[in-house]
Amino acid sequence: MAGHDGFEEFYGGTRHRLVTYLYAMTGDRAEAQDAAQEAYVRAWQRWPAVSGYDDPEGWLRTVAYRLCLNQWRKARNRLRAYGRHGVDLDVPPPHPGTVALIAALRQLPVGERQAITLHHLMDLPVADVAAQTGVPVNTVKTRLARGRRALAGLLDEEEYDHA
Amino acid sequence: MPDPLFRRLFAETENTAWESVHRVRSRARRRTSIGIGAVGAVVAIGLVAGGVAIGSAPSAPVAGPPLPAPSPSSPSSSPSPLPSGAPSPPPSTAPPPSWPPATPSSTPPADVTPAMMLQPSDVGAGYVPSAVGTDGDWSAEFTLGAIGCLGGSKPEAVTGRVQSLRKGPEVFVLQETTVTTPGGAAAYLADVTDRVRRCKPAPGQSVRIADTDFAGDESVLLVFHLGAGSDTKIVLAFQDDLLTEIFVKPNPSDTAIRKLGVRAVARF
Repeated sequence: MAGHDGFEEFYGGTRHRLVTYLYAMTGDRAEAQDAAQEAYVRAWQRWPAVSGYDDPEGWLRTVAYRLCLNQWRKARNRLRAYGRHGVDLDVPPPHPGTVALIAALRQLPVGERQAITLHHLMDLPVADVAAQTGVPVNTVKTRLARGRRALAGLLDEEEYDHA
Repeated sequence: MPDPLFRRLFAETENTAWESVHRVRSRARRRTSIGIGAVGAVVAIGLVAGGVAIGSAPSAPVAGPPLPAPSPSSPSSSPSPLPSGAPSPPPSTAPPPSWPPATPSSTPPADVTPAMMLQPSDVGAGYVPSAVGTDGDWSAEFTLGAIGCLGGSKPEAVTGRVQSLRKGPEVFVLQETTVTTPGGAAAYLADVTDRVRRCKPAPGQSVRIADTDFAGDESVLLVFHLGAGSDTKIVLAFQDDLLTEIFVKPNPSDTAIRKLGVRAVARF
């Protein structure tokens, strides 16, 4: 479709990173997937503009994370999903290490969690994390240092060191 | 490659079942075709409405005073009198009498009823409740995030309601009202105000506080310049632990959206 060139590649090439980021930020894999899927619908709607951005993936991350923050949408979608599907028994339980990591991340302040996730999970340079979160580079560095210290304390020391 | 600590997270999400790209397209097209989604402009992300309202809508549309025509924003803090005799307090006075009568402030309402939301008569002639609502990408939080301000989130809601009053695909008033945990609404407005003041948006974009204290216990009018000539305004106001947020399209005058804030709080 005219004006939507490149969307399919964008969808295929970014969705795994997006859902993993949202999972790390929210601790809820189903919610992460739901928000990610919705964000791609919105990206498609605005693709002629979004595709021209310097960082379409950054835009997508922002949109998707905002969707996760919308408590009403979250509650409504859960009810809908439950009504449609009931409880999905086929999804394997997460690995205990993942549970521990998610639990530890959730104990971090949002700013630290976001800095840690964008830098260490999404591989964004510190300057890009600063640009995307709207805080100075030094603040990002501080958050990363504090976040890493906190994670080390919250996670099993051996696992953290070996990871 | 992600930090080793996070590799397991990537592995666990590797087999996520995704909708086909065709399905994504068809959802987007369907939504666009009913006039609730795409704007397609570079800065549209703070301006779009989509989704379905939570809660039932008021029963019948009632003709009422029209919204003033959109005009360039003016940061005046003196709201002009409302048409048709609707209550309008002078600046910095107590909020107008509530209708229906407010519950005692020490007892937060158990629910946000349709009567506690803006009515078509508050908004203007021709507006009707619509099943088409919003997914929240019109909200102050979304728009702040979109222009690069510090992220935050609304206070935990005990209950709430979202509604859409529409006159056409691109002419509507969106409102979300929540009952927050005690003190949550006041803390949230203070937090939003702080984040706006500290925000350093990308070049060509801006956000400012155009007015405060014009409705309820506290209120704030946020004016966003999203670039490429696109502006949007959002009112946040609370009384006790009832917090409301209002967005209007097309972009209204400051006076018009402030009046809606006053009327919204009067409905509490």
